[in-house]
Amino acid sequence: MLPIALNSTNKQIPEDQIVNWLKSADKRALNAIYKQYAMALCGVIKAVVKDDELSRDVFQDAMVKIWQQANRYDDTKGRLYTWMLNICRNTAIDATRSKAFKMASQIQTDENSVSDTNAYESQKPDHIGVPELVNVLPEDQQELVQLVYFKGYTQQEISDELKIPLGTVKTKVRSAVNKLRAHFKQ
Amino acid sequence: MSWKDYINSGLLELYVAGTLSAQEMERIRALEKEHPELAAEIDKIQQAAMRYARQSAGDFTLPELDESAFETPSDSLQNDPTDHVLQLNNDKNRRWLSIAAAVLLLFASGIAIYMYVQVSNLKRELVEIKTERLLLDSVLAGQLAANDSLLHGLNQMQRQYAEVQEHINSASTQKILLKGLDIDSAAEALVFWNEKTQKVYVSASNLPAVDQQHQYQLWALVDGKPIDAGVFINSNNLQVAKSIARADAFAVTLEPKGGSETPTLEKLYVLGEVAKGNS
Repeated sequence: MLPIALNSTNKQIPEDQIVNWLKSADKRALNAIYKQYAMALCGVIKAVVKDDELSRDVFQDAMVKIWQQANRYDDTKGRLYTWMLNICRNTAIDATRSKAFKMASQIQTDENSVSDTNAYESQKPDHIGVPELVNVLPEDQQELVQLVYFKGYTQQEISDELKIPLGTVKTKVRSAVNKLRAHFKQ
Repeated sequence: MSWKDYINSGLLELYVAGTLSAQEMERIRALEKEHPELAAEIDKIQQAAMRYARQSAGDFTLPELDESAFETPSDSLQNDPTDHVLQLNNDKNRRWLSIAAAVLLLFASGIAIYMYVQVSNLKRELVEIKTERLLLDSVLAGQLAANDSLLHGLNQMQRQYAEVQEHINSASTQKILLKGLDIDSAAEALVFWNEKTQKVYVSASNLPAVDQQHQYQLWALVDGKPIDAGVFINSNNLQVAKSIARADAFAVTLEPKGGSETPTLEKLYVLGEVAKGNS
């Protein structure tokens, strides 16, 4: 074995390599994360905070957390992407709870905003604008995928939100994601 | 619940989202590491979720990351600006002088900090390079006797390094991209084969993770017959395979640890044909 990484011929750096870099504070981790995951993570952030500029700030904050809290990532508890996804989502949700965000969205949304103190929670997932994907999934499956990957809802929360039996959530999620997979394969 | 039962359960989709209970997350994580097929399925789910998220971002412009936010503690000095504030004299003439002096001092300490950071970065890089060379040496040059002079080791290492470079750059070396088959279309491996010297190097540029009981094995196909070219580890580092005199194609299968005499065709991951008539 030769320690010559043929990066130029590599499309993807494996997650465990990135984890190793991350844990040893090697900045190659940042480049790899940026290259392979940034756009997906920003998609999730943007779905929560809605604003491009704010999404960029949230992403920067989330990346700093990923960098500084690398030692908290536990390889036995899930994938790196899942861990980063959760950090981004939580950072985004925190941002929506900040005073400035609430004020800005109150001004933007409506005049009778007195009762609307929490812009984030009052927004239904179907308000997430995903124009390019509208035709890929029917509306109910779209909503389901967004609750799972953009909002991090548990099975119970999904069942409550969509008023469907708890036992059917898993199957519905599976078939929605399968439809996505089939679409992307084309 | 066996690992196969997870595939259609819908739990893997929630596992990627990270919304299962801690026990379920740990259980699937363990199974994923044990069963490459399960890991491959989760990969596909993750890819779909990521692609969906990317597309939903629309024409989003990624931010340029602020590099200074990622300094490790050793990278930067704690710079307390109050250190450099001078007591200003009430006398106006002297006051300007003091400000000028303060600016100069700040400037000078800026340079000092910059130099310090540069030097510590260089030191760290040097350690990294040294480590890398040691690794190269121990793996490639084999057992370097403990009392061998450093110079000897260095020469040997450089020679082997040059050998690999020569191999890769040689006009009679073919770079063969082994592409994923039905079992995993994203799989990929690279073979560098020199027809003249018969040397073969292989790199797993993108093969699914394997468990402890299995290894990938490289095969050269000659007139439809597989010739063993050795097992290799799942790493994108270049590895020396067995020498091969003739080959129409190269292929990689997943085999029980230690390799097999004949390839397990159901576990044929990647295949790449050798270009003809180049030598």
